[in-house]
Amino acid sequence: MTSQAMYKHPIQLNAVPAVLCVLSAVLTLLSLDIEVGSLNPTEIIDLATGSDTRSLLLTQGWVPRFLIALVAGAGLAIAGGLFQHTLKNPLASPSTLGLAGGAKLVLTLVTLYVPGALVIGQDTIALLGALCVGFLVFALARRSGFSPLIVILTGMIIALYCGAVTTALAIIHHEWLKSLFIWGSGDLTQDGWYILEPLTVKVMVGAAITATLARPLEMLNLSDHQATVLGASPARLRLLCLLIGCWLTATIVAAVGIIGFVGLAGPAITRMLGIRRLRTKLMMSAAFGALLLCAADQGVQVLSGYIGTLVPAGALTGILGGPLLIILIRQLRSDAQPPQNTIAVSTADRGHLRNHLLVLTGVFVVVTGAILIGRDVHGDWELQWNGALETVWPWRGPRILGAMAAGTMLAIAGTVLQRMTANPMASPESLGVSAGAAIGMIAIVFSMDAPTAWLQIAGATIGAFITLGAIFALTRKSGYAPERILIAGIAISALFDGFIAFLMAGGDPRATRLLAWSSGSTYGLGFDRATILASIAVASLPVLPAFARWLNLFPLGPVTTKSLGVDLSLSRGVMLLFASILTAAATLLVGPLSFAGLIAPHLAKLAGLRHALSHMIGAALIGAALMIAADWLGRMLFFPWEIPAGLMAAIIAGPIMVWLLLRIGRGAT
Amino acid sequence: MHENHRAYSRRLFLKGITGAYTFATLAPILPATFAHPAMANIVKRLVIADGAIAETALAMGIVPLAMADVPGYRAWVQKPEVPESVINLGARFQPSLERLAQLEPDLILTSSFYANQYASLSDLAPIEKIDIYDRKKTPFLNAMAAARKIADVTGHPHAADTLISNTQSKIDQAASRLTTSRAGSVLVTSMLSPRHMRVYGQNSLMQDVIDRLPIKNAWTGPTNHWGFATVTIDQIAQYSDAALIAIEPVPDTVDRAIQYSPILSELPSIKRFGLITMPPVATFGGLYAAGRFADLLASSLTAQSADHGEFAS
Repeated sequence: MTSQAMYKHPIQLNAVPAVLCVLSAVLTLLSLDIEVGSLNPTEIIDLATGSDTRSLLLTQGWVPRFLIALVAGAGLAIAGGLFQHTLKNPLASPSTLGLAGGAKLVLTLVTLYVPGALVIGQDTIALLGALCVGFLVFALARRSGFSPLIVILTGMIIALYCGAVTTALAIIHHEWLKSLFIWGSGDLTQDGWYILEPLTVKVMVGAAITATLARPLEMLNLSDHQATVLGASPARLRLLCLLIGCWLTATIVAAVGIIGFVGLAGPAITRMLGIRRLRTKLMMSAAFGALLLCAADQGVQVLSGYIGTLVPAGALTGILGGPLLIILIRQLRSDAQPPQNTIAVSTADRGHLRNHLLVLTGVFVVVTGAILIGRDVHGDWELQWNGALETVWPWRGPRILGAMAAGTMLAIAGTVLQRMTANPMASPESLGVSAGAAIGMIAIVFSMDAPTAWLQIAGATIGAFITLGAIFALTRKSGYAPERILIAGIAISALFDGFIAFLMAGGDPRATRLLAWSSGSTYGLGFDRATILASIAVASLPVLPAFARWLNLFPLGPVTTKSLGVDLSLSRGVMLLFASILTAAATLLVGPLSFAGLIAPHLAKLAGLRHALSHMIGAALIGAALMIAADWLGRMLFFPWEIPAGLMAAIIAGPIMVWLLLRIGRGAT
Repeated sequence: MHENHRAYSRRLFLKGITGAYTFATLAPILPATFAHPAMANIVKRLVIADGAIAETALAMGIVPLAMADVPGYRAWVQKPEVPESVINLGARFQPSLERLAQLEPDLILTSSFYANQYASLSDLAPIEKIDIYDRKKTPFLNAMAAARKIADVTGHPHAADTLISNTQSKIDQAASRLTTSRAGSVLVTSMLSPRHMRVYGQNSLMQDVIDRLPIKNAWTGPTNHWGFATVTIDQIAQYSDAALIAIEPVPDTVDRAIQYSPILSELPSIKRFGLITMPPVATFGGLYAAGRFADLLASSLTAQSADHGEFAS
């Protein structure tokens, strides 16, 4: 992937490691100065050898914390490098396989339902959860010979699924999960060496195995065919690579909690430096990961003195890492390697009229059910007609309309993005518009005591448009290259996740509400907003045929598309704008319920819809039905508790998706 | 730390009480002179979406038709108890709108923090906003005003007087019991893990109550809008004179960490007083929570003086 690396600004690139080193050194010295009260070596040694509380805080608190940042950062970056190497996707990271999500879900379930089991130790339970998810991904991906596409999709779906269940539980039971939010935010505070020592051993084992196996693993750079000819088994190599990555991720997550971004950024910086050999690449990644996490954690220690509340390192890596990645996008070559995934390029629809009728009937049944079936005042199920329906209609009607419109829009946006970028991980969320909107909303919620719904929407709108402008400005020079757009989107989402983790860890009561909103809820939607949403959805439909040709060609790759006479910059720019407008409108009115946008295109494709136009329309129908069903289930299942529609969509669609993936896997062998 | 004496102002409290008393004596006269309908206007179908308001109303014997997050209240606030008849509305920030519509309420009580989330509710029933935690940062005085307002709008004008005087006597009793307390200052916390805790300070109800007692709150650092700061163990290590109080439930991991964690076990405060635990009390509560906190604080600190040196866990 980096075989013919060429850079316009080698000096700037070489500056990145230097800046990182200086930054972490300065921050470390600053925090040591705060801890000891002076930087005089004799005073530091005096304090370290003393026996009062301050000495204890230095030797049992500050020192292990400094070291654990280095160990965890290095381990995560190695894991990230391994995942990116195996999955041939620069966006892969330790979170891709859903290990952290699995660990968090299992910890949440144990904390809520078997709190007695916590005696085993939080880290043991988290490790078990992560390993369970790892095995699940392996079991599902085994049939396809660990094909990168299948591994990424399964991992991502499991991650989303675990995340959705965890968030749903967090919204209902947030009081019981306070300590879990701290773990989830990745705070590195230490009270002794008892976490650091076993972790170091485990990470060292992983790193040593990686170093010995680096040479054979290099073969994964070749195509499966070439590797087989050379006598290697690509499936076995991938399994090995993934196993080491999982081991590192699981042990680190279990010990220190969820620290996003380091595992993505470490290898990303290395790749930009143009290092080719896997062993060197992983070693450099480890060094950058360690420096990144160290800088972030020391920065946190300096910062928390001023802020007066806990700033967890894991949350800060997201907040710092986002802008860093955005700066680095400018250095990424525009023709950087696209993810090498086997995307079906046939445009002939498969399947019969019967299938299409089935989809339409499904949509009709879901809409009718959502309108008529409800719960009475005692919580008993009932079919609601005249009077009963009239009472609840002003609160139920707009939500059904809103869910339908949002599902349609996001599914269309998702289809456009997945075809345009030829990346199955692309979803409306990866545009970063949703996260931008969310950040705008946070700004309003936190600058006022009790802002109204419309003020929050105004804030979100401004946030969404600033983000959109920024993404266009950052990617314009590259002709809106897909990888750049996706990386920019991921960076902005990381920023938002960082904020949420920070707020949840700090225990701010506003965080739960933001969490509910950011999972896509139609709560409190009135007919005014729902009608605006529905009009935009309807208005977008006549535009679709205009994109059909472009979107039929794009999965063939940029070179073919260009040679067939498509103006890449123009077409990408127009479609990006279209997808962004749909996403922004849906996000502003009902929150970022992006799962429909990710899964509906896959479902439509698996239903046999291959032509761009039928793919988009099929996805729109499936997206609408999915969101209506999800919204209804979210309102009714745990009545009067509500699970946001976005989460419910993930919970419903996750298993369907895994089942479909299993079918593909079986077909491949 | 010593500026805290300023906040320990009996005068301020007396002023509040005198005001309350004047109001209380006038209160029965005012509605009587205006009109009888006000007395007849007892709200039958009352719905409460905020925890502190629900607690205050229940303490005054005003039972709502429905309130938000009943299971959460039973676990984390406990007293005053919620009658079985009260219908659950779901999450405080997202009460089920369909159930609300079916209940046909006459009045909805909530705080502005939640109210603006569901402005559309005003189509269903009048909304009354009552705030205890706001920018004025005087939760105790706000809680008193809130009690009166709840009593007024629900048509039980005398109910607030009893609660206010009960609270005052609880605080007075606690003050006299605490004169023999060994610890001169306290750190009131909710433990989250062996390394993390919430510590309550300025703008919390606990701070306002402690200001009315002959002890001090050791935490004078910054706090958020709700009066607490989430801190790590190293930030509280320096307060060696203060008794560390943990409001239950305390995670099991904390008890075990006292054995093996070098920092937690060597913490001067824990070595001196042990980790003092206190039964659950609403940490963002109203007037009833203030009285309950004073009572529980006095019990835990005086019980501790008796068996000093033991780990009271």
